[in-house]
Parts: sequence; structure tokens; C-alpha cells
Amino acid sequence: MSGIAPLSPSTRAALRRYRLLARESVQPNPTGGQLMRRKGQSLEFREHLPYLPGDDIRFVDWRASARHGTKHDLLARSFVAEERMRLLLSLDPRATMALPEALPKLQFALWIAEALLIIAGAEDELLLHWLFDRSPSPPRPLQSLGQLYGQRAVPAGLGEDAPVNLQHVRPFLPPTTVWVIVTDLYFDHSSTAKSLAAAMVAATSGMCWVLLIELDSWAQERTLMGQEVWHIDHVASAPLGELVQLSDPNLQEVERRIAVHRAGFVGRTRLAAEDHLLWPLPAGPAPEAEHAFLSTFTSQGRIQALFAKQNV
Amino acid sequence: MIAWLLGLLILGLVALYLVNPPIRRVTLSAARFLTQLPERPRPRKLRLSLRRLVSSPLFWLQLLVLTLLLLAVLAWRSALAAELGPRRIALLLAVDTSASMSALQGDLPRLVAAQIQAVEAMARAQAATQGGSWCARLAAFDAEWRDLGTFRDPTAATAVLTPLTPRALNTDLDLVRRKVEAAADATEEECAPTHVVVITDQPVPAWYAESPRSLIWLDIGQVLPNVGFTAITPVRNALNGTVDSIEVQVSAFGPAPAGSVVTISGPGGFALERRHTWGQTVVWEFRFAPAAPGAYTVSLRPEGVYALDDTATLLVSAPEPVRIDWRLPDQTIPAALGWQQAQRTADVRVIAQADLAVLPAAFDTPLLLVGPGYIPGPEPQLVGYFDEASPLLADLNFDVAESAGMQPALPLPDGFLPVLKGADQAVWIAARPDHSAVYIPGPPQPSDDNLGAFSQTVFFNALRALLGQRDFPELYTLTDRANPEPAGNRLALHPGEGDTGRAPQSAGSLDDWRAGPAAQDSDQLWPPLLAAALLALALERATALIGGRRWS
Repeated sequence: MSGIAPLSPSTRAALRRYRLLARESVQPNPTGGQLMRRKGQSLEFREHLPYLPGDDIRFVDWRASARHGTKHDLLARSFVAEERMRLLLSLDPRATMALPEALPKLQFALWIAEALLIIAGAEDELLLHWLFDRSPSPPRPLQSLGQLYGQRAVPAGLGEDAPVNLQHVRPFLPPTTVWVIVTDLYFDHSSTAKSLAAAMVAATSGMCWVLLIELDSWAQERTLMGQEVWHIDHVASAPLGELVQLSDPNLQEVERRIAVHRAGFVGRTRLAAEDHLLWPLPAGPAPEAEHAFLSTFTSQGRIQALFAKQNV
Repeated sequence: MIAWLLGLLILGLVALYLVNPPIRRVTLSAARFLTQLPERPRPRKLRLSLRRLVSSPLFWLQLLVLTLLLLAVLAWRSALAAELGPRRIALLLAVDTSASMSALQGDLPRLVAAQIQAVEAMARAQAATQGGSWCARLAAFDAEWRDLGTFRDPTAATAVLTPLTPRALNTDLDLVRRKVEAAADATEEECAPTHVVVITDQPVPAWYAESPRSLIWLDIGQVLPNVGFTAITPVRNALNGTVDSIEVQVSAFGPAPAGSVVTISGPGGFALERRHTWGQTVVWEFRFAPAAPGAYTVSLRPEGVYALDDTATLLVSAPEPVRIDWRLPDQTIPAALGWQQAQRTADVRVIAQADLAVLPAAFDTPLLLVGPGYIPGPEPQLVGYFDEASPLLADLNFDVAESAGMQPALPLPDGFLPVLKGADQAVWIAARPDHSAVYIPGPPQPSDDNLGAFSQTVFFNALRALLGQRDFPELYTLTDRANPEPAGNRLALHPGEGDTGRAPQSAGSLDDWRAGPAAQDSDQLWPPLLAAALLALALERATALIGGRRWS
């Protein structure tokens, strides 16, 4: 795809600085945040818990039990389980993501993936998954930019009716996984939306954190069209041949339709409101757009929460 | 009608592009939400947009095609109107009055035929204007260009042309060329020429191709028989200037007669007659020796159509004594030849090289430098170089030269070039290229042997070369602008004037002129405009084919 480019070195450097800052100082959101630290065996003390039958007797803290426990109530030490964060990133590669032509939504999706790759580094596990594909394909570890920007890296030729690629996703969504979905939601409700929404509900139920990032380009496209009469030649691959007058009432109607479409899908996913991140795409040339991307990415609380050091 | 139609098409094209906005194609990701909107499209208001005019290459190409077509039609109409309608003609009419125009064609001189042609040209010009304005500048030319005035009335112009008579002068065609070029450049004059007509008996010159297109060259000459003198040349003794003989050249132009007779009469009852049968020849040359100084009359019979080359009066002047500035010790030779001793008015100065301190760079008197003399030795001196073309070596015997004992010349002044050198590069004979000064190895030896003959030949060769540059009285002179009439030995034997055998060569004609030479520029303008329009159309179609809607 032409016009798609990686982040500039300055933006990449800024993201590396942000990575250090986020891991040191950003506090997790009480209602979300990463779930990767849990009770387990490590050298880092977590808390004292009442000793239960079956617990390893070696972890009984006799001193603390004598000081704080009752006669028959022993206290056992518990430790933090050092687990690597698993982040599953699902990108929407359909044709609508390649629009607007001046600055496609897919560009932002790939920038998000690149930014997550920079911040996650080698310490965490970042998996790349194409949300739509002609043949089912499992998520793969994202380790290099070539997986994003290389030739044939992005599945091409996928229209609005492209099949959703969820067949191999479930094994990659164990508890504590963070599932980030980047899409414009411009797909059909009937089948695709239901399948995806169901998968998101299942993931949430399975102790995963699902974060939906919706890329919204309507503002640019509205500006692009102006208030003129347009002949709609076809929608997707379906010929239409319809004249439309883009007056204010019609524009408001379009916005309403998009909002209804969005609400319908999000409602199916049962996501918390803060886990649906609506990202309006900026207008303007690529350098300004990249700057706007960096600003949004680093200021979004839900994205910051991905990399918070403290557990919830 | 066609021009109006094209003008309307241009306006329609502009209006079409103004009214129709450019086709824009956009692809929206949100297109699925734009179908079946509640408010249907209203009829589009008429909006004029310059954007498509400015940004559409096809519009500019189409406009270029229509504009070129319009210009081609206008140019064509202009040419047509100029051809059919009234127009202005300013005529420069030049008539040849040179000596050859006196040649008889039938019973009338050629000049009469030229005058008739001139009147015809004026009548054609007046008719070609179709009632428009008309004027004529008349001129006569031979060796001189004479403006006869500007006329708007053919009768008055004819009245000026009629009295013209041939003059015994040559034809200066270079003068005609300059006048024609000046006429083409003249724009501010009252009757600035738009057409030039030259009427003459000379064939069209080579420079006609580079002359203005409106020039018509009318050669009214016909091939006529003429026999006449074409060259009369004296053969003089270089030492004393005496006319030893006179060479006469007679040429036949056109059909030659069976024979010709030249009678020569001179002083003291001198009479001579020479006859010639022409046959296949066209040039007859003979020589006669005048008996004494005086006037000789040479007459040719039968006379040709051109009378001015049939008789010539020649004046053979008496020889004048040679004045010499002799500075050699031995005075025997000038005394024996009877030469007069002179200094400032000397015809030649003879001096020993050893006595000449410095030779001036320029001097009036021809100078003969004489070397130390001839001192034969036991061994011959081989010749190393000689100028074969030099008259200083005429009749010299080089075998004698190698045994003559010529001494090397002292360093010669600037400008001398060797004529004869020895094998040792010693200069024996030298001269300035213009023969204003000559060096010889020694004075003539009085002996009768080979050395005497050799040294005398060298000496007199040098004197002939020096004295041959003197100005001698001419046998005859030619008529010129100051003296245009033949009288005495002032003749009209101008080269080419008697040549009546040339086939006439004209360029352009009054018939072509009537078809409208004044509209030539317009005639030649619309075809390239039409070709350019077709080229632009092809480019527009190719652009539309390649660029499609992007360039519409």
C-alpha cells in the first residue's frame, strides 16, 4: 500500500522515553489496568494469608503467626508471580481502513502497533493478529517493523464483507491477556459484528482486558466532500448509482447512522465505556498527523494503564 | 459565416467549461452510510467556476484548435478580400536606358519595347487595384539611377517615359539591386513601393532569389544578330611605350553573318582591310601595326543591330623618351639608348647597391639596384632556386648563370623576395612583389660572349619590369556618367552591351501580379495556421486518450 510509512525517528525516540516514564510512575487505573502480576512464587513478597490445608508448610511465617495470628490460625507468606505481560493486538486490514487516501486509518493502526512494540520491548509478549483475513491465521509474535510495513505484510483486497479471523484467537486469550482491537467498525452487523462482539465478551469473561480503539475518519471525509451533489457510484462492490445532496440535514443523518452503528456494536461487546476508545483522526499532512498521533497516544489514560507497574 | 460559427464555438466552449464543474472522484470509507438519505438532491444552481478553465489541459488545447481555425479562416478571408476587393498599389517602375537598349528589335530600339511594357505595367497596376489607390515612381537606370518622379496619373507618367532615349553607358545591375532593396525597406515615403518592376534587356540576375517577392523582372530583349568590337588592346614596347601593334577582338552574338570586313584608316593615308568568314566561330581576333602616331578609325561591316560597337576611333600617341636617374659610373648605356637623364621626374632610378645606404619603405620612382658585377671563377655556381613565373628570368640561360660568376647580394632591404638563388643560398636576383624595386647582380657587360648576352638580358628584363608600370596614354576611353556621349576616342565599348545573343530571362510577370502579389503574405498565412490547428487537434485527442478524465 502506498503512502504507509513507519514512525519517524524522533517519534520513536519520544516513545522510548515514554516507555521508561510509564513503567516507573504511571499508576494503574482502579477499574482496569494490566492483570499480569498475580500471586505466585518469586522472591518478591506479596502479603500474608491465612494458612490453608494444602499450602506449602515451608511458607508459614512462624514469627508473624506467633505475633499476629490466633492459636490455630497460622499465617503463610505469599509471593508475587513474575509473569510476562501478554498483549494481543488485532488490526483491521479491510479496504475502508485504507481511507481516507490522504492519511489512511491503517496508517494510524500500524503506528499504534509500532508504538506498542517500542513500549512493550522484549520484556512483554506482543502478538499481532489481523482481524480479517481470507484464510484463518493465528496471531504471531510482533518482533520487527517488517511484519507491519513489509511487502504483503498487510492482507490486501479485503472488502467490507471480508471474513472475520477469530478461529485461532481463543487459545491466545488466557486470563490476564490484554486484547487491543484497532478498527473503524465499518463492517456488517449481521455476521461479522456478532462474531467479533461475542469473542470480545468471551475474552472479558475469561479475565482478559479488552480495549477497543475505534479510528474515526468521518470529520475528514465530511470536509473532503463539502456541501455538493455527489453521485454514489457504488458502495463496496455493490453498484448503486445514486445522487445524494450533502446538505446539513443529510450530514447530520450520516453522523447519526454512524453513531447508531457504533452504539449497536459496542453494546454487543458489553465493554465498559472507558474501554471503548474513540480516536478521531487528525487532518493535515503526515508530519502534523504523526505529531497528533503521538500526543493522543501518550495522553490516553487507558493506553497508559497498559504499562503501569503496579497491579490492580 | 464560418468565422462567426467558430467564434460562437469558442464562446460555447468557454461557457461549457465555466458551467460544468470538474469531475471529482472521491472514495469514502463511510460511503455505506450515505445511501438513501432523507433529503433528495435539489436541481443544481448555475454556478460559474473558473477552476476548470484554468486547470484543464483539454480546455486549453480545444481553445487553441478553435482559435487557430478562426485565425486561418480570417487570414483566408483577408487574402480573398485583398484579391477581390480594392487595394493599394505603389509601383516602382525602373526602365533600362543603357547603350544596349539602342539595339534594334525589328525597326525600333529595345527602349521603345521597354516603354511600351512600362505603360502596360502601369495599366495593369491601376486595373489590379479594383478602384483602389494607385501611384507609380518612375526611374531610369544605366550606369546611373535617375528618379523621374512620382505619378498618380498614367498619362502624366507616360509623358515622362516617352522622351527617354538610350545612353551610351553600361548597365549597373548592382546599382539596381541596391535600389530595389532600399525600395523594399521604404515604408514612410508618400509612395512607398509595394511592387517593383524592372524592365531591361538583361537577364534576371542571380540576386533575384534574395530580392523582395514583389519584384518583377521583365527582360524585353530578343535574340538578335550582332557583330561588334568587344576588345581593342595595344601591344607596347615596355621600354619606350611605343604601340607596336593593336589587337582587335570582334565577337558575333546571335546568328552570325557569313563574313565581316574591318577597315582601318589612319594618318598619312594608312589604310588596311581585314576580312573574316565566321563559319562556326564566334570570336575573331587580329592584330595590326600602326604606322605612326595619330588617330585610327576601325570600322566593321556589315553593321549589327547594336551600332555603338561597329566603329572605334583609336588615338595612338607618340612615344615619350625614357627619363632615367642613372647613378652608375658607366654612362654608356643611357647615352646609347638616348634616354634623358632626370632625377625627380625619372621613370626609373638605377643605382649600385653599395651606394644605397637605406632603401625607404615607400618611394615613387621605380628602383633598380645593381650588384657588384660578374666575376667568373674556376668552378660553376649551381642554381639552387628560381621563380619560374618571374618575368625577370625571361630568356635567361641558366647554364650561363651557373658560370657567370654572380656575386652574392648584400643584405637586401625589407620586402625583397629572391627570384634566383645559388645552391649556397646566395641571392643573385631579387625583387619586390609589386616590381617597384629590383636587384640584379651587376651592370650589363659589353662583351659579345655568353656572359655579355646574359648580363644584358638580366638588365633589360629588370628595366622592362620597372618601366612597364608607367601610365601610357590609352587608345580610347569609355563613356561614363560625366561624359555619357561618345566623342573622338571616347567609345561605348562597355562589356556585354553588344551581347544580343542571350535568350531573355524574366522572373514574374504582370499576369501573376494581377492575381494579387500584394496578398501573398496573407495567402501564405492560412495554410500553416490550418496545419497548426490540425496538429493541436491531434495533440488534444492524444491527451484525452492518455489522460482521460484526469485532464478533462
